[in-house]
Amino acid sequence: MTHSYPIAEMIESALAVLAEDLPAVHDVEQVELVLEQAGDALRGGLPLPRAVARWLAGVSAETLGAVADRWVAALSSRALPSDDDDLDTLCGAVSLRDRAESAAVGIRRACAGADRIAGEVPGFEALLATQRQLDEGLKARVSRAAAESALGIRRGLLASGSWTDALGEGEAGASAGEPPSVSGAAPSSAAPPDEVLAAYVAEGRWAAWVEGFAANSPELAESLAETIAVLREEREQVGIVARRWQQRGAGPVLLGLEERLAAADGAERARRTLLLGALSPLDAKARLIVEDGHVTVRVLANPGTLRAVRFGDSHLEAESSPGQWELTVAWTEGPLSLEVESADGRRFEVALALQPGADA
Amino acid sequence: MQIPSKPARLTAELRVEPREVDARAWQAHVLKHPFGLGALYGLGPLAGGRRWNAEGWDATEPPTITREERAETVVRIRALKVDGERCGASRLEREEYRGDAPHARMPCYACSIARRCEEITREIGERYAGALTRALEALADPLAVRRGALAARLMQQARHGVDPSALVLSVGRLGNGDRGARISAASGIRSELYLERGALRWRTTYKEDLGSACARVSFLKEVLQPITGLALSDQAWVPRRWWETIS
Repeated sequence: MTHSYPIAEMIESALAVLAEDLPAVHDVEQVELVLEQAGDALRGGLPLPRAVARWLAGVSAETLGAVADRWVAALSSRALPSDDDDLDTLCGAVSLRDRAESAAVGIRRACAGADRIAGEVPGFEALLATQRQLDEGLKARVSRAAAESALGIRRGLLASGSWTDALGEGEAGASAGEPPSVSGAAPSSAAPPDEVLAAYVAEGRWAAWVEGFAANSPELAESLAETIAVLREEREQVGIVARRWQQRGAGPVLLGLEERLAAADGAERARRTLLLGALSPLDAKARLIVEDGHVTVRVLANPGTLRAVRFGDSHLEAESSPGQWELTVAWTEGPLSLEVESADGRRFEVALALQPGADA
Repeated sequence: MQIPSKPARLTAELRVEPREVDARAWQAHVLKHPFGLGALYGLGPLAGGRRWNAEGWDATEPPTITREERAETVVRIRALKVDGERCGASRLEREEYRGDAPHARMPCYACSIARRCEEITREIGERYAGALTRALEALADPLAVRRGALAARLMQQARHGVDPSALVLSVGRLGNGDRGARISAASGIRSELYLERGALRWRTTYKEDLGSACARVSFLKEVLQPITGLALSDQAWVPRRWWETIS
């Protein structure tokens, strides 16, 4: 049998086993298991075996509520990722959230089969509220694209109107939705502490302070350069400002990409988002989205604070939407220039080189 | 630190090459996972008490780290001073954290004393690294299975108890879109490796605290997203002995 998406084969096989060997009693743990599988199937547009549907209809509201309570506890204790690149935490959080979605769908299906209203199941509303809370937490920290990518094979269950819609385009990641407020002014001549260095490397914040201090401190400069090199090798988030500083103006700033992105075909629909971070000295930040042989730059700034954005041979002199500037060009290995000009005449300029291969 | 300590061949097409991990990157992993700093840094409005052992490295058999060992080691890390530099990891002494969580990243990546810190945590680090070594040993001469067959078998297990030796290897797209492999164990330990130039190289090892059979099955079923045109990603691999035992 062929399937339109990989997880369908797994769902059908699991359900076939369940349908032949349904638990004799409605034990909470077993109900939890069946609800999740049923929810997966319904979300994936697959038919629910009649035996499973009948079995679910026989589950009491109390038992369904006990399952909902377990999910509330699991979701409530879940650590959230710090940003798009906190991959381990991100994968765990979105996987759990997606499974909770299936559990909720399963509870609704069980209720429908028993002519019962899901909202009357004790704990069900709490489950929905906890899901919303988790979504808010994710929205503030990660982009929708990163969340969906981290779902892996479960991404096949997302449809129009899925829970990831709540993440919006989520220009989150590095520092949530608002543009960076620290354009780089040094508050003192003191050595920047670790937190400031981390913010500089990942997001380009405090650039004037860090780069100014590093210019007079070979020790800090050496340590910072090593740190950036290690983080790039580890594929941790390193913003465009830190990359540019590390390269000391030697040619375009290198951004590593896998070869697949350069030659991605329509079937594969490869997509990669690269957070560029703050565009110091401007109060703006940007990201690149590489997909299907095209590169899109998305610049965020408070509405009215930028005058123009130029990317490759394209340019904009008006916002694409309030606070957002977006330009798309064809993928190229050659340098791509990004120029951003603020309303007060300050400029950010960088040449980018998107390179197949690891980001080292 | 070199992880794994020696090369391993899993199938005719799949081999694992050791990766030399920089001390700072390695300490970031050791402190984040077995020491639980990642959980203590865990962000979000939902998290109540965030425990150092949320991943459960103290519950492995044998324990990768114990509470007492952690406490003693943390004292030694805190006492470490190299050229005036000290460990900058906040909350390291804490066993649980309930306060507001700032946007925190592992400070080890920028640490100048990581090499000395690595010496202090060497034993724990080696036990942590051993999780991958044991998984690779269990996957020597693995059996290739279809995803559907895997899901069916796991569902049978879920109904009657998941065998603790269950292990699933898959190749495909990692959560960030990179090509790689994932090894998930019934214990909740998961290692991920990058697939580069035909060889697998370690990316991370972490652990999920899996409470229920349902969670265990879901964890094992989370195979990587297949890659179009990469035949290796069309199936999963399991330890032959485990699969045949449960048949």
